[in-house]
Amino acid sequence: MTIQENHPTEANMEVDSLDGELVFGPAISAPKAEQAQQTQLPAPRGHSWQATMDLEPGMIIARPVTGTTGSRVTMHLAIGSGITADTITQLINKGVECVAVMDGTSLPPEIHASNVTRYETRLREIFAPVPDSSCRPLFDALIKYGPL
Amino acid sequence: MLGSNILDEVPKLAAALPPFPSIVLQLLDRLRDEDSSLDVLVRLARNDPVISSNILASANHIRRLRLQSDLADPFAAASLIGLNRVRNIVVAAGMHQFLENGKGGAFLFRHSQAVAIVAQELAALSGVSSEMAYVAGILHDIGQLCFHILDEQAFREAYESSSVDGNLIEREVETFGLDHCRMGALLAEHWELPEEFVSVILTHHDEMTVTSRLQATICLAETLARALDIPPSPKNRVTKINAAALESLNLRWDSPDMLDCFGRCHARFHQLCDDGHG
Repeated sequence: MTIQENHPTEANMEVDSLDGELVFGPAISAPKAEQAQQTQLPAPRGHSWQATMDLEPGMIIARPVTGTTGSRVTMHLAIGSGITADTITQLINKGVECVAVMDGTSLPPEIHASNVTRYETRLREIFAPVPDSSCRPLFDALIKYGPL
Repeated sequence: MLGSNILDEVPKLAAALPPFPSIVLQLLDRLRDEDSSLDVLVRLARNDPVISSNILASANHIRRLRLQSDLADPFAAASLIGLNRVRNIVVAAGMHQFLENGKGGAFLFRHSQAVAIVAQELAALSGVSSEMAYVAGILHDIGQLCFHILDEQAFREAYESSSVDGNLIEREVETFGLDHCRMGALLAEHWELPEEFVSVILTHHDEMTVTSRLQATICLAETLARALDIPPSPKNRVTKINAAALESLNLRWDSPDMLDCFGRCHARFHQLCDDGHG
């Protein structure tokens, strides 16, 4: 399971900010080839972050999880641990908001590449016209992270 | 344009807004109390049907995963989901009723929720109180609600024109005589919100200065929410980042924890939207 699969329409979804209405408009304009060449295509992460309320039994932990009660660590899930209904209850109860889980399937390379270019195009719009020097490190980090 | 002595007008403006949710004020009073118990919080919340039903819904989501019958008792439900989640539900549901006044209010609430989530995640990386960060994120744009109610058309025009250059503050001053940060701080003082929140509301758009670690967190959360495009909007722009805020929190955008933070913020915000709370 991937974030992209969970939200397949997100790239085409815009919010008219003061209307508060979701508008399904045309897809973001096709990026120029040279823009896509500027950065090396980040590899798929192999995991996705899921809100704890969205977890399902059977998912596999991809990042260590630590739950605390007050200042005491009372729960630790290692990478590779399977998630059960009881695990989800404990995570929610301990205030763990989000967990990284392994992707069940990997995207075909052409879909991944398309997601990357669309994501980078949108980032360039947000940081337009060009990232200010104070913004450049954030822009670069988001490019490095790849599609959300 | 508001009159020259804005202080005299604040009570009138506040009276034109929906009443500030008393349950949020009570929660704010208890926020700094580490010993504030779940029991006390649920006693506050149980008379609010929206908050109670949100607590029950969260708990029953877990119960159904375990093939157990639904709960109807908010105390039992709250003990299942824990103090942090109950706090978030109280603030989010309380402020939702307050902020969702008309269409613009709906977007304002979604933006506030996004900033609250990002602030909470940044706080976890930097040792700031994540509960304070969440509440400050929800409250930070309260001045915009006032402008929206005062003159929706004028505020819309100011907002639209600012999307080109990102200069919302200047447009608001031209239109209303003051910006939403100052307006929000005046309202927060009128409602007697804690001083930390008044200060954050006043300075959350400062690009150069840091007044507190909480303010630094909200400054950066506002920026990061727009960079992450949550909520998605063609008007999301990032033109400048408060570097002093980043330094004061000892954060780096390219650190492994920060990269995970991007994914966490995105997942949490979209879970809220899928849940119908966003």
